[in-house]
Amino acid sequence: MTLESDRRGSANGATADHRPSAPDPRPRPEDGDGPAPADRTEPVDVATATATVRHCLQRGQLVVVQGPEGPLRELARALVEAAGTADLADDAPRHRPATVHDLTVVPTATELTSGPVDSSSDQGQVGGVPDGLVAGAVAELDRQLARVASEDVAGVRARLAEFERELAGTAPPANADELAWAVEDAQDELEQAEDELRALDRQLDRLDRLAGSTAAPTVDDPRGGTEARADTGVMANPVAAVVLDGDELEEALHAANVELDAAADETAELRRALAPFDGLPGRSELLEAHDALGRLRDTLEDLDEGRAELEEAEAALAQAVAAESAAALVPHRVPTSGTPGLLPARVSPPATIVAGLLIVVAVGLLVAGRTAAGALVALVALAAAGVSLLATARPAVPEPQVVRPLPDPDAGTHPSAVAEARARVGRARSALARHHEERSRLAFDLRLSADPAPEDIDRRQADVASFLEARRAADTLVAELAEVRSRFVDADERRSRLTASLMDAAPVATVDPADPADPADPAETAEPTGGELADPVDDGTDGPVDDMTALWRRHHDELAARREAQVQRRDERAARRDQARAELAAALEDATPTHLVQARQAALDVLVRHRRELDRLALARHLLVGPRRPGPAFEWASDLVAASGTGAKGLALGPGGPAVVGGHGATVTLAAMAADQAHLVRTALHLGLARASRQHPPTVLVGLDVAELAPGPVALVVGAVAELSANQPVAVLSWSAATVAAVTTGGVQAQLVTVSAG
Amino acid sequence: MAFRLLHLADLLLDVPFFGLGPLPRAMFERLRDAPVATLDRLVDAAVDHDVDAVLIAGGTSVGGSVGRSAGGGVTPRSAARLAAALERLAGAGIPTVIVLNGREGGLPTVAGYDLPDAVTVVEPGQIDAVVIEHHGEPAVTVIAASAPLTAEHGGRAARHVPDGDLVIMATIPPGGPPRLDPNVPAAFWALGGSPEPRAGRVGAGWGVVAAPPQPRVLPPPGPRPAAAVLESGPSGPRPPHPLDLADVSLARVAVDLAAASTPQQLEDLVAAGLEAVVDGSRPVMCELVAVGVGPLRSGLSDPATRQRLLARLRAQAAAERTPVWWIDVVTAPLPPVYRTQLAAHWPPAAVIEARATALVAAGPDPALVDARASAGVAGLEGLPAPGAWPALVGDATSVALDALTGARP
Repeated sequence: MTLESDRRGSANGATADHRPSAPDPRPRPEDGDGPAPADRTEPVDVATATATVRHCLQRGQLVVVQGPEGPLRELARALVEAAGTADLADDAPRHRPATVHDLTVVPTATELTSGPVDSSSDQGQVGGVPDGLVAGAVAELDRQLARVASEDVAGVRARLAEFERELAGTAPPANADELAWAVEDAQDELEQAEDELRALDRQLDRLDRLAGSTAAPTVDDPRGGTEARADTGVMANPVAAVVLDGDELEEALHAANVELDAAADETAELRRALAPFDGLPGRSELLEAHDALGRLRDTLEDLDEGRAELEEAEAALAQAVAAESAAALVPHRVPTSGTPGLLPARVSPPATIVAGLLIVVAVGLLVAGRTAAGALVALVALAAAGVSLLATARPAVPEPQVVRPLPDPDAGTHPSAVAEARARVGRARSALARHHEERSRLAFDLRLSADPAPEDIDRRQADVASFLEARRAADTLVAELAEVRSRFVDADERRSRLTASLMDAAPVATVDPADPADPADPAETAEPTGGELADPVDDGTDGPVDDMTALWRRHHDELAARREAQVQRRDERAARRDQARAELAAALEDATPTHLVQARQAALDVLVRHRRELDRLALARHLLVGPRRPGPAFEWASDLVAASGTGAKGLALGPGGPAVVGGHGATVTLAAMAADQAHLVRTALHLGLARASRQHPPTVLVGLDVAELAPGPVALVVGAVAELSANQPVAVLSWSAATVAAVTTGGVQAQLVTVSAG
Repeated sequence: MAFRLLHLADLLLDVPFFGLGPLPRAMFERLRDAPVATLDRLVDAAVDHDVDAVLIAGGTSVGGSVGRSAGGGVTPRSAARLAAALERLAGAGIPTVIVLNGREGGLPTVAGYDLPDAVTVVEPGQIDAVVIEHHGEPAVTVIAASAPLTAEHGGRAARHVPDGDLVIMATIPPGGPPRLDPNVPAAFWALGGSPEPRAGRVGAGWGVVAAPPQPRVLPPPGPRPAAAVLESGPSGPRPPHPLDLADVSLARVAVDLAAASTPQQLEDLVAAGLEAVVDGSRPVMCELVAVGVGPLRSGLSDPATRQRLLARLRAQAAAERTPVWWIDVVTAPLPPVYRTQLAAHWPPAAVIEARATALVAAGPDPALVDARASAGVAGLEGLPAPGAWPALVGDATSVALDALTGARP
């Protein structure tokens, strides 16, 4: 929505355009060009204008108030303020003309698509951007840029530098080594304190154990802690008194404790070393297995031998039986039936058959009447029968037959070779059975199969051998353990003695152990020393039970007191350790200045945001004015203007485009000078020259190199400069002879100065 | 078997906050302690939800160059607070399983202090299976893999675990999450190492990615529960129940400028948006983002106006004793569709758009130097990252269009 303020200033002549539209692209008269604004506004009354503005505000539409101050403008301002924008407006700088900047927005998308777009003329525009709009937008961005740039980032930067210095002073790398050493020292101290604490704990534990093992004697157990003391061997080793002074006692006690610890450690170590041998069969068991295996192997050999012997005996028996049979049995005739001396008649089959046949034939012939022939045949048949009879009547010679005799029932009673052989076989069989039985028994004992293979036995023997080896190693360890145990017992005994001595009354008289008559010899004194606590029992006497009870009670109390003192010391140590830890933590906390880093981070944040804001505005400005391609002419002109002193103004024309340079630092680059963008060049010249013409003193410095320009723009430039020079003195400064020539031939009435490019 | 686990990741005890600008002292101290204060919220949540175990999927500290270069590094105090939190969990009978990501060398420790037995720290390159009990009965086996091993290795290891409920925890490697095998019968895949939390179905179970419970930079608008309660009942795993453990809430409040034609309306919109992010239990660091197009847009394009609005919002929060600190007021770039329409119907917008397109294509180097020199901006060194350049040009385009449409001829 555009409200065009009434230039006539009439209160009732205000005009308003009800239709939403884009901002008026027409150039303003103060830009030095273009006609006066066309009368495109319609007069509206105040009520209509009010309604319109309110309507636009409610719909979020664009409200652009154009024109000089006037009644409608005042009205619009009032409406805007009434709509609740006073906050922003109040905070705005007072010199700002109106709330227009704060409250104008572009039309909505709907309005854009539906509203009229005035693109009928690009006169006075840059690529469609109204130069007035561009100038205003650039001015607005410059204002914002100046405001952002003027923010107190210098203070932030100074603070940041301060942070950096502080960080450099407290953080790595400057003091890194020192800090590391401090931390290391503190850690060492902590570790040392913890070591001491652990040592104290161990000592306390020992004292606890000692106190437990030295329970006060009772009537039932006058020795007090008998079992424990028996374990430590105290009972078995009555002590020859060694009397030392307090410090020496302490030292000796400490030494005994150390030795005890060492012995205990060693014991534990040995026990650990022995642990793998747990479950190992005993030595006798192993040896038995070894022997059994040997016996089994022997039995297997015996079995083999028995088998061989049995076979041999059986072979011998067979042989003997055969020999005996051959000698004892005589062949004889088996009695047969019939006449003795005559073999039973046997028919000779061929002669008999032939005779029979002939008889049959003869009978046949006789019956047939052939008597002669029949008689002949009968004779032949008789002859054959005779032969047959002769043949069967020959006596046969019987062959002798061997008959196996019946077994001799009296063989046992008659030791013969066979009997011996039989006995041998029997023995061999029984031996084999024994071996079998032995083998089964051994194999069962050895958890082997009933018929073990020799390889099994070998394997088992190897196992047993390795077990025996391990057993030997374990035995060595056990021996060492026993030795350590004895050392432990000794040390414990000494510790007990020393502890008791320490507990005992001080001062301790110095005695000479070599002098048996010395009355101070604790072995002879009535008051038992610690080392003699066990003595009354050990030497068979009952001893003064009451005295011992008192002594043990005192001993116990002393231990409790010492324990309490040590607990107190431990607590103190722990407190000191905690304090050291806290100090260390504090030291590290201070050494790592988190707050400093955070503060530095915050300062960096400010700078980053500041920079981003500046970049954003600069880029936005860049988008408005277009890319700048500074050529030599521009640089040269800028330098020249800068060198000319405050207030100098100038227009530089170069391949990058015309630019107004001046004391305020304002630089406006409008367009690239390209041959196909003549309208851009014209507009640029128009704006630049117009601005230059309004400046005082009216000196225009023109840096121009026509050799870099296309002919079209050169003509435009020359024409523009000529036009400008008609009204005011123009100094054309150029380093290019071609430019000077071009300007001169163009009729420019100007002071031409040719400057060397160098 | 039913079980309930609390899953989180990336405590990042050694990472400070970034980009929040200068702060009041109290707010600064609260922020400084926020990462470790998250630990207390973690323990409270674990006890309140009666979980069977706490799973921390990596990122207890950064341990690498990031933490140190930012002046971080786990301070002894943070390490002690971590130890105390783990001790409290162990004291409440809640075991903790911790895996490490690729940059962590180990868990931050206190000299002379041993972790409770209930804490399992899986060393780098190791994989471990921890049986978690529910009311005294073994309920779930957690397969925990520390970097460089991934969830894929965990899935393969799952084949060697006897039947029963499975949870596989690991960190996400730098190349992105590995493929989660849907055939692995895991009830949950508890992963860590992503800036944003998410969850989805994997086979019959759920894949859950935990994010830093205490964000250090402004997250996208909306709720952002970074931890989760993983629960399984008789009917199988339930959808993960999200938990917000942040000690300080970081939020963006977006207002649509099209709905506000006056500053008062704008403030009303801000107040309405603020209600959605203030929960009363913790302070809120808030950024106001003005989006869309409306009557106040060109006014807000002026940094001074934004600063005034920021100061006004802060004063309002202080007067109402709302636990809110306004970090900044920013305007979102014009919507692309709007710019397109503007460019199509208004020649100046077309010119600006064309130049912006050329700028994006050319990159930051010559254009920004030129723009800075042209605007007389001095004292800025360096260039924005190429990746940030299009966004910067987009912002600048919006500013230019705002200035152009709001400019007075």
